[in-house]
Amino acid sequence: MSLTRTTTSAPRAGTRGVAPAPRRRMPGWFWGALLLSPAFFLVLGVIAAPIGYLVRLSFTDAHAYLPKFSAVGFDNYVGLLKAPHFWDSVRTTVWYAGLTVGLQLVLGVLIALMLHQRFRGRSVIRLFALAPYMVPSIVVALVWRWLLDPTTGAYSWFVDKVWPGSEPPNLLSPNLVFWSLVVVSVWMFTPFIVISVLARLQTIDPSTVEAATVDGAGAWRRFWHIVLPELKPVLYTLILLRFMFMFTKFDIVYLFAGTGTEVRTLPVLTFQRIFGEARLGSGAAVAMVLFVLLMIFTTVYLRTLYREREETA
Amino acid sequence: MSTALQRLSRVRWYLVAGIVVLVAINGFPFYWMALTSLKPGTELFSYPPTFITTAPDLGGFQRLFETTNFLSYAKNSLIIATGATAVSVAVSALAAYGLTRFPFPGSRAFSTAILYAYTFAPIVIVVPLYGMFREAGLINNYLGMILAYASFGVPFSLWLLQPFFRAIPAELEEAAFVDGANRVKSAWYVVVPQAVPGLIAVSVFTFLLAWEDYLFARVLITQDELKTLPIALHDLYNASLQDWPLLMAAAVLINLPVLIAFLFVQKYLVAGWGAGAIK
Repeated sequence: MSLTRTTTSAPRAGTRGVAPAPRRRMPGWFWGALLLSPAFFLVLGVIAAPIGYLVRLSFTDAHAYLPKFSAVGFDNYVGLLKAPHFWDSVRTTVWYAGLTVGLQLVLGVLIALMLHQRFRGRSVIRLFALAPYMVPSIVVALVWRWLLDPTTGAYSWFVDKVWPGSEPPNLLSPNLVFWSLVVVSVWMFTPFIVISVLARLQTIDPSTVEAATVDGAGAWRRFWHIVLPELKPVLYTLILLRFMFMFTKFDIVYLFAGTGTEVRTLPVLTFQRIFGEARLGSGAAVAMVLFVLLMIFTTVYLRTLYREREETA
Repeated sequence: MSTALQRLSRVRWYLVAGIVVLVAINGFPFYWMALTSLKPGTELFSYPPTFITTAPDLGGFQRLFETTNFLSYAKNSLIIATGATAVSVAVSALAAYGLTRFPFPGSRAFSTAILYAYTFAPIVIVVPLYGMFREAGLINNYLGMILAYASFGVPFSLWLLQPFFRAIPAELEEAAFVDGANRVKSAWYVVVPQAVPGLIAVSVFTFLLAWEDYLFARVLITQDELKTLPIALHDLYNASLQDWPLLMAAAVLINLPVLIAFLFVQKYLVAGWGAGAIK
């Protein structure tokens, strides 16, 4: 007899009209709702309510520091769509997210395949493979700016040795810093792909791979015809999730490259408008653009997730 | 048989080369950070750069503690991250238990809403949160920071904890009821110990989220005495004269708890990522 199934038999307090008996059991949904309520109010208060406030802010000329706040209708959005630097920003963001996700995916699958092999010291190597993901963004940004410093950086020196030009390249200069940022971001976030792919690789039945080996299939054919089809759903999910993640990434972009106008992705543009130009309302409109895109991505992602579950169930 | 062995050894060769490259690329920035923190000023700006130091020097660490409020920033970070972890883990463990044991109409909708919340980017939330916190007087406030990080931890934690709680058979609890335990006792003595790996994973996750965050702290803290480590480090970097041994000493110290936590809970984290992040 399950104690959790009291819902159907529990009498409702209202129908009796008398004080409830002291030992009467509350229905299950009551406990469920009670246990959920702290999480519900926390998420409502700090995530959902702010979204409502964001919508409102985006229709005002709110100032970041002064108590100025009046409705301006769609002015912020119209201004945004007319501003050429907004479209530059959209382009930069798409490039940044697309390039970093593509590179992470290719490298992540390669590294996962490597770490999936059996060899001595594998657990230590795995630590190395995952370590960059754990480092705070500010540390990654500073260490890499120091490594790429044009006069004393170890990597600048290395690049100059491998690829000697007339002048040592300044990898932090406005026209190269975007590419350096892509390298740094790939260094930092590839471990997430490695872990996810590795987890999936471990569920592939090794006997199918062995059978193919016995039948004479080379490493490439085994990967292409057996491993890759198995990885397909994970990779699809990862592309969606990681694109969404990189598209809205703020910390590393801003800390490594985002204080000027060369690498002004949409999150950086949001931050600069609000805390640089003190235009809270206008910055809120940029944040709204990001929010709407996030909602679309998430809906697509959840659709595929549920469809996948139904297929595997 | 011999051809299989030959093929194997050829694969091995690629494997060894790949691993060497991987370790070098992932490890060198850590080495360079630690090395710089110990370099004496005379070696710092030599070109070509020196890849070992002959005279390690703790001057960077010394200046960090003597000329900056590093310890007070560390204290702020510790208080905020610990508070956020405690709140987030307690709240999401209760909710995960509720969702898996007492399904009610709307609990599926709640789960979906949580998934949406999980994908919200910090940059989208921080804009209105700044406005709301300003009006509520929660700027420059430990409690405000704790609540902000805790609610960012909850969606992920709840998502990750649910499979752990679902995997605990209801029969275990029913056996405890037969033995006379009430629901609170059975939850504490039967369910919680079973969910420990999941609870460790979400604790570490939430702690690191708060310990490493830059954006929320930057926006919601303006007083120097309340700064957390990441924004304090960024401000030291933005100072007019960059003292690289000092900056790298601070980076080493910020990283230390992260890497120690990582070493100890690696397997839980990997399990968590596998379970929570993808499916």
